[in-house]
Amino acid sequence: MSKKIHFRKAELRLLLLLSLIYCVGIALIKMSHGEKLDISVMMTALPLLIAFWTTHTLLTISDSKTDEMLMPLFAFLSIIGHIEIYRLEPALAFKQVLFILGGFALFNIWYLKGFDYRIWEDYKYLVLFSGIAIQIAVMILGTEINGAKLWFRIGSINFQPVEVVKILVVVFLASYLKQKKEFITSHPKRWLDSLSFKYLLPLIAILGCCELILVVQKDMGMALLLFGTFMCLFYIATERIGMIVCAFLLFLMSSYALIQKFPHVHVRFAVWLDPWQDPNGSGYQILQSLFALSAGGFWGTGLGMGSPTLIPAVHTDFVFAAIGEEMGFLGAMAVILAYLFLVHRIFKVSLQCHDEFGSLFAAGLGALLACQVFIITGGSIKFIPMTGITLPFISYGGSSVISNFFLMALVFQIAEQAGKKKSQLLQMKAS
Amino acid sequence: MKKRIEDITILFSLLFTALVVYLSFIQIVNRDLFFGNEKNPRLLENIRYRGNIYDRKGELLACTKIDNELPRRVYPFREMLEPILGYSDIRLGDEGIEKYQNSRLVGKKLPDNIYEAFSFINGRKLAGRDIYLTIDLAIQKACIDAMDKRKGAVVVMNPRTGEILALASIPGYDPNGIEKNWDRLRKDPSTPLVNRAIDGRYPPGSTFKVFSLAVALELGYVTKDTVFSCPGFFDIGSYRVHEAEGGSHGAVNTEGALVNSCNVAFAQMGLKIGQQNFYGFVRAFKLLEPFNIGVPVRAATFPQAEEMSEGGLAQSAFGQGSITLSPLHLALVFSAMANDGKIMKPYVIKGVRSHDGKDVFTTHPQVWCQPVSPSTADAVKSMMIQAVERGTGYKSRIEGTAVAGKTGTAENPHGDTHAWFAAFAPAENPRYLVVAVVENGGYGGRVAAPIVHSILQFCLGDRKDTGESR
Repeated sequence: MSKKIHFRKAELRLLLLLSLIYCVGIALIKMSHGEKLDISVMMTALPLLIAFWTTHTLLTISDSKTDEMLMPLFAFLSIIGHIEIYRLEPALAFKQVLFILGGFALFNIWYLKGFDYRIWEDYKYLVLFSGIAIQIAVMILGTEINGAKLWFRIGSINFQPVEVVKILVVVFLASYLKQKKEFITSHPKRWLDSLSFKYLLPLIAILGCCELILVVQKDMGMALLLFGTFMCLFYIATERIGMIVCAFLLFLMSSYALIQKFPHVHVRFAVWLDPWQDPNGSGYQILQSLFALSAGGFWGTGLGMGSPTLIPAVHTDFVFAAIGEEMGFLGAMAVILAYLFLVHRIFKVSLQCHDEFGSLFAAGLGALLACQVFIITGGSIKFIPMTGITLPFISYGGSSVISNFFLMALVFQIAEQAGKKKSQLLQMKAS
Repeated sequence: MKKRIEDITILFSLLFTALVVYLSFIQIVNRDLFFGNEKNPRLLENIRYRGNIYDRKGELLACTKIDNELPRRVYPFREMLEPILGYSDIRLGDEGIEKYQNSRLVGKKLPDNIYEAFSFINGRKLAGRDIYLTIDLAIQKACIDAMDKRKGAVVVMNPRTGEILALASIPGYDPNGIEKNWDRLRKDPSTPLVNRAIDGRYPPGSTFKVFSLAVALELGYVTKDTVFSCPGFFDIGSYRVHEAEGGSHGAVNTEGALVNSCNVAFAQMGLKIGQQNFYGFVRAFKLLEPFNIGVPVRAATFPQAEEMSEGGLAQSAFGQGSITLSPLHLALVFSAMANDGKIMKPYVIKGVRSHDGKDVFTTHPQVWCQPVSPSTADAVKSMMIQAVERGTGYKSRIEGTAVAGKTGTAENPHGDTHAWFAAFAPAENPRYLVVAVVENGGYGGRVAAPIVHSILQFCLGDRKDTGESR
């Protein structure tokens, strides 16, 4: 049987389009900075162009059976990220490029040479405890930035371990639920029966973890993210709507109690309800975001022509508002749709996967990404209360960028298995 | 499990759709609600690219400084020019000239020259234009000094052109960093935010006799030689007119009535004029229509002819009753006497220059109206000279220069009388018309006349500098 190279044509076309968008974007920013348009546009864009064309080549050579839409989608989001950071904080743009390059490198290495994702299943408790250990370590040893202890400082680099922990949590949940779902679902469906401690234990444990993160680490975003992801996975694995409702109510009640008790949570909630109460204080940031979005209108002010830098933390938490101002409703909608498309494709991987763990794992990663996008985007447009987490692939920050590339590498591993199985089945049919 | 994965996919599709819908409300449907909000710092651009404001001699009165990327409006002369100059603040918005000349200071729609056209195409904001005021900073300062912190207002104008040379309102306020003091200023009982010179409404008192005299002369109801008898009071039905300081003037001619500020004589004059004519001339002197000198000026308040009783008419003739006006309005009345019966359109905007120093707009003096004939104006003027030479306005006499003026001591419901004095000099060729009012200051001749005197003296001594340079 002669080995025939399968060209990834859809991916190739999308990447060509992407390269064009990227160069135009960088050129526009250069113009708005008052620089001349010359070879330097290419030089700025070159590292990432090389990165995703190399990735494309590697995927082609390794005869990958993965979905051709996935890579262009997250490459698109990361170039939007670079363009935005270059626009908002030019001094940080090169670091962001390095992070994205690091992300692509990790992605390729892990996808091609990393150990099989199925091994995770056997080490689920090790994964869980290392996750917990990291969280405890950061609580004790972490560096405090902006009033929250969420970072490890290694040299000049701040590392946010929760970005890794969120993936470890999905690994654990997927393997735990795979094992226990028979046990949970075999139980009579009357949901009152499931109120025994044995069944509620995992629920209570995860709720406790979320509340702990909320209270001790003051990281409302991460608490919400983990809770949302867990709920999605739990539903997919067990279909116990009763228990989900139960957990949801519990979460709401305990959160309500915490809102009353802890001022930092309370303030965020009050600001969401009425930012005009303290427009120069606690309401300042979200109002700046709304001003920026309204300034954008439908078409946007144009790259480099708006004033998104008026928003505090615009390059991390509020990068979406900057997109909304300069690229308008059109651009913001395009970004939301790109995320939705990406999430959709990850769920498709989950559907195509034949082993149960892989399927749950992919669904969990998809839900994680979707929840994160929803929480931060909704927060920055005041759809839900603002919680400081990053916009995947776009926000400035090494931990966030690299962990999301890692997430995609895991999705690709699962997709690869699914793809292989599919082609095997096709071959069997053919022979 | 497939079914449930699809459920979750649908759930996220719905959530993301909700985001897009909500976003459309912020960015499209309710866009103006957020964008137009005064707290939106994008409106800062108004300050960043704002032109400067200069006085007539090129003294810088307002400019924009940028520290730490944050543009800020700076007013080097602090409260001296307030409230006419106003302020431009990020949070409070604009006021005064900064507000009403905003479209000239910023928001230029088209570029002024080819270089600007290039940068305009490249998306750069155009630098605003500079405004030159008719205000003379030195005279303005003389007014503030002469008022010596007493509440009130001074208007100095050139009656031959309508240029307003000074517009002082005391107390003023410091527009630098006004938002820090905003609450205090807003609640201050001495109302520093109100421009008394154009928005103050005072009964004019005896200064308004100049108006009545001009009308009576114009209509031919009195002549120079008409004799009035003043027993110290005058009855109109049940209403009795008194002389201000008691006493009586006996038999006085028209000039004597003005020189001695005889209420009884003017009450009689008012009755001769009649409601319709009186009202008609108030209108002819432009007191009843709003106008714009660069900032808007509201009309003076005056009762309708039909609503005015005989007693009210007599009162109005000597400046009491329900008539109230601003110092600027009174300046218009006096300027007709100084300018052969013509009133020039008053203005504070001398010109506008583009960023590179080219004139893009110049205000040309224009005759606004002519309510009385030159001969009437001359007759009134000569009597006003006498009112200063040997009458109530003697404290404004200037050695070697004829001053024409009239005092006023206006009774009002807010306490002591308002002290008025309005005068122009040199009488034969008037170049400076000064109107001063001191709120609850007492007698016009004693309190306001010395203020006008010192301002006139300053102006006349400073005459070399008031040429056309700016």
